[in-house]
Amino acid sequence: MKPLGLLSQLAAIGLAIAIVSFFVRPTFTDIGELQTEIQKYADERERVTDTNLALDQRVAELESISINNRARLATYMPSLLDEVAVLRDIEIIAQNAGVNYSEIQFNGEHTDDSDESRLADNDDLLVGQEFAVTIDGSYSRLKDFFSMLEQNEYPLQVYTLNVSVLEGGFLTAETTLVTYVTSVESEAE
Amino acid sequence: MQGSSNNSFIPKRRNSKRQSSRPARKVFLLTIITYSLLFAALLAAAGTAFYKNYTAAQLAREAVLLDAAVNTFSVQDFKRVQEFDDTLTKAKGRVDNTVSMVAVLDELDRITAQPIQINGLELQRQGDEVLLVTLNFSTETLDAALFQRKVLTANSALFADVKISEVDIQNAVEATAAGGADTPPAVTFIAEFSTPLTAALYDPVEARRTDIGTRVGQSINTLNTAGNVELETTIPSEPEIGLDESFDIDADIEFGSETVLPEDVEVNETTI
Repeated sequence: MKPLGLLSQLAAIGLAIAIVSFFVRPTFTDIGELQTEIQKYADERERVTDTNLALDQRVAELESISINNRARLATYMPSLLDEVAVLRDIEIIAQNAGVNYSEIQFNGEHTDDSDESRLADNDDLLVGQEFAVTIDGSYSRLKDFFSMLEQNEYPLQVYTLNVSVLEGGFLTAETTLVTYVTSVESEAE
Repeated sequence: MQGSSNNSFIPKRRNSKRQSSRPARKVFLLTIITYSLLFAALLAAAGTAFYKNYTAAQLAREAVLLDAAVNTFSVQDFKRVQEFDDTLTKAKGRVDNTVSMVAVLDELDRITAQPIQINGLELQRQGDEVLLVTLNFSTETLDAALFQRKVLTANSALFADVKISEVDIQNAVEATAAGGADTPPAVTFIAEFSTPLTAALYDPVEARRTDIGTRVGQSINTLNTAGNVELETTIPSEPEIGLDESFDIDADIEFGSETVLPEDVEVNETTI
């Protein structure tokens, strides 16, 4: 090893310090930032992979539901209202129950102004569609009518009911039925 | 021998002490340190530069992998699943809040005492919370009305906050003259009560019974000729209650402990 002069030694030490200060340390900082980025990317990739796996699992579950059941769900909670079909169904139910109907009409969108409804945490954003039905018949026939409404393939829920006695032993019932759709547009429009 | 040694042509050297002129061993400690530092700095620079390149390449690989993972995500599948889940949740919400009108009517059948007739029924649903029910009862005797009130307030888990109002007691002769009916009711009153929706929820198993709606008359409930429901409940006979058939409305009537008004029952607008 050839000895260096003092000046050269000082210059070499200065160069070494400069290399460490101006290259090695910033490079280390860069490497740290890169590693942090890599970790972030890896975490995100893991999340995306987990999400993809979960989605695949849900899709598999969805596919495992029979077409029949999916169709029944679509019937129970349609996106659009076909009020003519609903009117026809109510008419068929009334006929099958053996009650006479004097009025079955579509009233439009149902609005529940009660305090209970306004205060309730109603976040399902369903749109109720209202039908007014006036029927008359014996008590057992009316009960059959309501029973058939309950067994209908989509909800026809009674919101108001007014039963009074007719002459001749019959009852008349004025009722408001509400069915639900997930969208506000009507299919007939 | 001594002479021969002196006669030698080889110059004699003085037998002096030989001083060794060993050069001083210099330890260039500062030089070593300098070299070490310089090489270390250069090595560190090379190493960090290499490692930085390696790390940058790794980051690029991670970015590509993330991009590939993101690209495998199917937005269409996600929408499909989300829509289905949304519809299913909404449907469940409706199913969970479906009231069985048949259950309400069955309960009315059950709690309506035999001499009582229901002349009118009004029912109003308020959101997904309660059903408000208003019943217009009529009967021929006041004790039957009182018994009905007791049954309403005590025997039904479905109906709560029972309020009896507009109790109207008519003389049979006057009622016949006014209404023209053969057997006019002597006592009419209105019962109002609320039913929490959860108490009358729709039960698919119960709803699919084949005898639903038609079992009236087969069970304890019977349908009278006027279309009103009567209950074959064991109502105390009038002598048991202690009320004479031709009672005096102005007299002090004592019905015993069984007919004491519950505290939560409000009686108002009584007209005679």
